[in-house]
Amino acid sequence: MNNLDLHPGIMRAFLWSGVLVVITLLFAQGYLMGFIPPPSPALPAAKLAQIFIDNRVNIQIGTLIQCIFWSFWNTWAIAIAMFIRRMERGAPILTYASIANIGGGYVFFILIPMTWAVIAFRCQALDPNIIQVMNDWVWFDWLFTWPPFALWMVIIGVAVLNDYNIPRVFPRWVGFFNFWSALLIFPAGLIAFFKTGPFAYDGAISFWFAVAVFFGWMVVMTVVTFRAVTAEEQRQARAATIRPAK
Amino acid sequence: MSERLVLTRQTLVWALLLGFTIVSWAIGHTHFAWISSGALVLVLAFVKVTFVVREFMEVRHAPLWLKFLTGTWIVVACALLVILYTNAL
Amino acid sequence: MASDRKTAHLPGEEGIWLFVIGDMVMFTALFAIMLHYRSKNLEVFGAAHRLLDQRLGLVNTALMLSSSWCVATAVRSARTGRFAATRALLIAAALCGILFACIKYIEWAEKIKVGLNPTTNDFFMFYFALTGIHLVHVVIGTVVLIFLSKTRWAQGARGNTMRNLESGATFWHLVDLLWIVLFALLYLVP
Repeated sequence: MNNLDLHPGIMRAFLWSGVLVVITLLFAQGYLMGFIPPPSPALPAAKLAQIFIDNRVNIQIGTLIQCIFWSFWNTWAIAIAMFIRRMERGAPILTYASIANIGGGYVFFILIPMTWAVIAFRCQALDPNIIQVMNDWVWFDWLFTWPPFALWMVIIGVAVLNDYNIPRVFPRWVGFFNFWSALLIFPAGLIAFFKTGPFAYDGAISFWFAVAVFFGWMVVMTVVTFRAVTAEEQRQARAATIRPAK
Repeated sequence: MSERLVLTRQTLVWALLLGFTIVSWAIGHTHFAWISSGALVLVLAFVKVTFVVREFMEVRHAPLWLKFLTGTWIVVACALLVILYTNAL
Repeated sequence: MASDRKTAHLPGEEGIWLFVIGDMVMFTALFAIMLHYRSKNLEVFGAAHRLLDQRLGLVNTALMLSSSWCVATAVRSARTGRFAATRALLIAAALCGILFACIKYIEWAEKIKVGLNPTTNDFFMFYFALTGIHLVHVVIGTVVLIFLSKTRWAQGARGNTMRNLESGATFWHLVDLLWIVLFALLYLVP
């Protein structure tokens, strides 16, 4: 292998780590903590505080698990960034922008369980209004921070459409799919205006639809990147038969 | 292909679309005994959409799968919205 | 005439149609959700809908339809090698888009000045949210049109340039047709 080849084993492990992100999210945040879907923003502070007090241990265990597994957002996304480097000609502008974006995204994600853990730490003694604002903060951290993720989707789209490799790393539709996904998660920004209804942070559109788009996008990107890794593996095998490794 | 740019099929379609728009606006202000005017306006909207899809988006000359997909969407979406609209009355 | 073509032709590339059809489906879901909320709140929706400025809505519809004509004619003119017309028509369409956005801003400003905002009631929640999401499409489409107007046609309508023009045109027509349904649902139906 030379320095430009992508190690298929590591790439695949990274992609599988992203699958783990989704599975543990459903288990830890959904099942253990009961936070999928979110508690309604219209809930009175006292009732919300009671949720934390009643469910304290589950929340604490769930947040520990989530702090571990959100880290794998990084590894999953970097696998895609490696292919962005492959698709890009010249200095790695799109690649660097991607890496910066991915690193930022990881921070948003890990602050979600961390904040809940902090709330659960002293939830009996905390003023319920403080619990409420911290909980709101978590949901805004998840949904309201959509723009950098949309931006990364656009960057991926641009990279895919400008791919000069023959054969292409990704089919062209993947580029358009990324543009479309970027547009579709836009409604998550409306949560600032509503405490009830479809555009609230527990709403049909701003939560369910936006989250479905985001994780649907992760699923599609995982599948097409696995295919790209296989193609890369075959390319390396062909190159090795022409010029055996030293 | 014809060299004309203004006296074209597209211009005719554009004029028709404007006409339908005005008719829709008028219908919205009228009350009919036999049909909900809102449902009529919705159907007209999808007639306009059909023109845009077939003529402007050139689906008229597109492969069968695209004609099928867009045609299905137009019919299903129109039916769904008309049903949801009138069921409320 | 375009109807002389014997073989099927997909305008643009498949990816843009994925985007277009996907958006059509998503917007239909949004419209359905709105009608569902309407059914639980007929009086509020009925009264609120009458507060919309139908004249501005009609002007915006005329802008959308005319800009679509410009784009469709731009594609025709590119196919017949009249690239100066293509550029002019694309710019005209982009100007329509900009005008549309300005009128939308004026409309929203008018509403907000009299105290109507997204949290006033369910109708205005959908009004602002749906026209807002549509406006994002208009802005993106306008940028695409401006970008396409800068195409260098020096070597004629080569494969990729024609395909990109058709893709951009297809997206713009999507923006138009979404508005057609939106306009009917928000402004016209009682």
